[in-house]
Amino acid sequence: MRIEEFEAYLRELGKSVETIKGQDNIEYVLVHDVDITCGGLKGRRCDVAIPRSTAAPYVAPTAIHTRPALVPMFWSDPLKTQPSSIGPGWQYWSRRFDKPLTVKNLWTHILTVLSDPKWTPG
Amino acid sequence: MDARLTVEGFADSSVAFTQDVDRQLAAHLVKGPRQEDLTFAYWRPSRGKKRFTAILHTLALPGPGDRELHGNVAFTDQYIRRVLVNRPADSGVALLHSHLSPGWQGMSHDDIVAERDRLAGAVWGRSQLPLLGLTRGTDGSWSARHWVRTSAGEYSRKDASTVRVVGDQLRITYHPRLRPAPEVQASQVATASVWGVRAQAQIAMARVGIVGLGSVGSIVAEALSRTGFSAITLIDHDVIEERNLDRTLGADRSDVANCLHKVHMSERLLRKTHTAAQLDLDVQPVSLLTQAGWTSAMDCDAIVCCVDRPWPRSLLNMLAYAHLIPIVDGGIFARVKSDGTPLHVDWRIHRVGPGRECLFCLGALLRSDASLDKEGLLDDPDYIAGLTQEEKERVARRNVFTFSLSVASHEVLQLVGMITGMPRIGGQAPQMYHAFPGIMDTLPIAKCVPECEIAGITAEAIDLTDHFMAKPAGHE
Repeated sequence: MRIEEFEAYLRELGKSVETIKGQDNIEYVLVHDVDITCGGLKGRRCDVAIPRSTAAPYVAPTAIHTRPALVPMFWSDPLKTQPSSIGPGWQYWSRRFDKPLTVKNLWTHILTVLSDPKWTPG
Repeated sequence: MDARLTVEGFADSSVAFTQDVDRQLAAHLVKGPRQEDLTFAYWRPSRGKKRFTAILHTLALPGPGDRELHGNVAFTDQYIRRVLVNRPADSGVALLHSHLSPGWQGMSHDDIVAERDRLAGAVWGRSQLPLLGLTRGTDGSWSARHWVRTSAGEYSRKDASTVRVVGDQLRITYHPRLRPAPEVQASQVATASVWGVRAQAQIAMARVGIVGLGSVGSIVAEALSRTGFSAITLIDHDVIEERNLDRTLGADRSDVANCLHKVHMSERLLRKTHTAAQLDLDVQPVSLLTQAGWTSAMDCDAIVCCVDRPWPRSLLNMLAYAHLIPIVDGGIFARVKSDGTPLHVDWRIHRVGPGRECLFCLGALLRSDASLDKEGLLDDPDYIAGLTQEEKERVARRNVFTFSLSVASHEVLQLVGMITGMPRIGGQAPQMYHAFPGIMDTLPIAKCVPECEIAGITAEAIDLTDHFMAKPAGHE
């Protein structure tokens, strides 16, 4: 999978996607206005970002980033969250991804992280 | 195209393709004892330090009216026009045809006219890549050459020194003049008496890389040199430390005092212990993840992966598929009880490359561990402290020399089996050893799952050095 394929897939889904540079000087794929439709955060809307690399094949990210912060910053299980180096307002969610890296699997992973029934808004 | 980027800028040239492509070619080209045949195909360039490889990836088989069969065979203008129009943007064009005799094939006058005079200019004009010509002998041997542009309208032949077919076996055909088979040495008689002169020659001619010269790699290195491997590449940036002395073959206290690089320690050992007529070492005291380390790895026919860091293993996993350089890999997982005594010890050995499961599909490496290592998080004490107990044990990398002896032995056996094509040596399938109760399990040989991104880059020849330049993900 290449990151361009992931971006194209999201656009096909009707998402607004852009490339941003974080305060850490790293490029991210930013997905605007992701609606959380189930789980403890049902009804919330956020922006989601993952690192953008054009190196092929894309290497699975170890974290996703959301804006705004959706849950408390807590660097232990089960939250494993902290302020993101993208910049103010962003939250870093440390999450492993170990499935074959396809555009669908990666997007499903992101939605699954956000849809956990355990989450309560921070 | 810049000569430094194409075949004329390299000392050595090769062609590689998968066993699946070879089977398709055999099914098309083999027409019995009196009829030759041909096809066109597409290839991508793969660049090492000294070796340029054409990675053949897709056949453009002939249709009606594309060729004339009359004992010999000739392609028509409509066929070459179609092939040029349909050429993928990143690919060169190859003409493959069969001859009716075995072994490395020379070229007849008609062969030369067809490739140099009818094709080389048209292909160069469209692709800025030299025409690749290949000939199949009746025994399945392949011979190959590029037609290099020397001046306007002039093309000269540059023979490839090897053609590699990569699958269950690493089957290499060597150019008889550029890469002649060495004779069995007096010091190799006992070894050759077991697996024969032909296998010994295949061992002597293949270039094998060892990435990581620690506990397993140092043993593999001496095993290769004593077995008769003559072209060996050593890659490791580490130096010998006190804590390495219980697990590194050939290292001593003076090496610690001298901060000797592990590759130079192994080089010293190999120069003392080799049985080959001549030893051709490429010694790289650098990380694999450098231009020098990576391009040396790209010059190898096969690599023994003896690193335990997930990110370099992941990159070698990609290399095996994208550039058709099979990897023999092993790993040791030793868990201990809270009192410091062994709880459970396993080790596993396997080969990865086209047609076989990759390290991810084998379950020998987690994608997420590779990503964490890539981002430097496995060196971050705060991050390590937050891992679960199971995760901490997986990244602890516990080992003792005796475990390494077993892993190294089976890695070399798998390598020899792959290079000689003799299934009775070493085992072909992934192996899993359980120290208690002392059983070696053999796992089935399988392919990657259909959606695997690693199998998906087979023969793509993508530039994996882009990954070294990637910046770490945002993490405070």
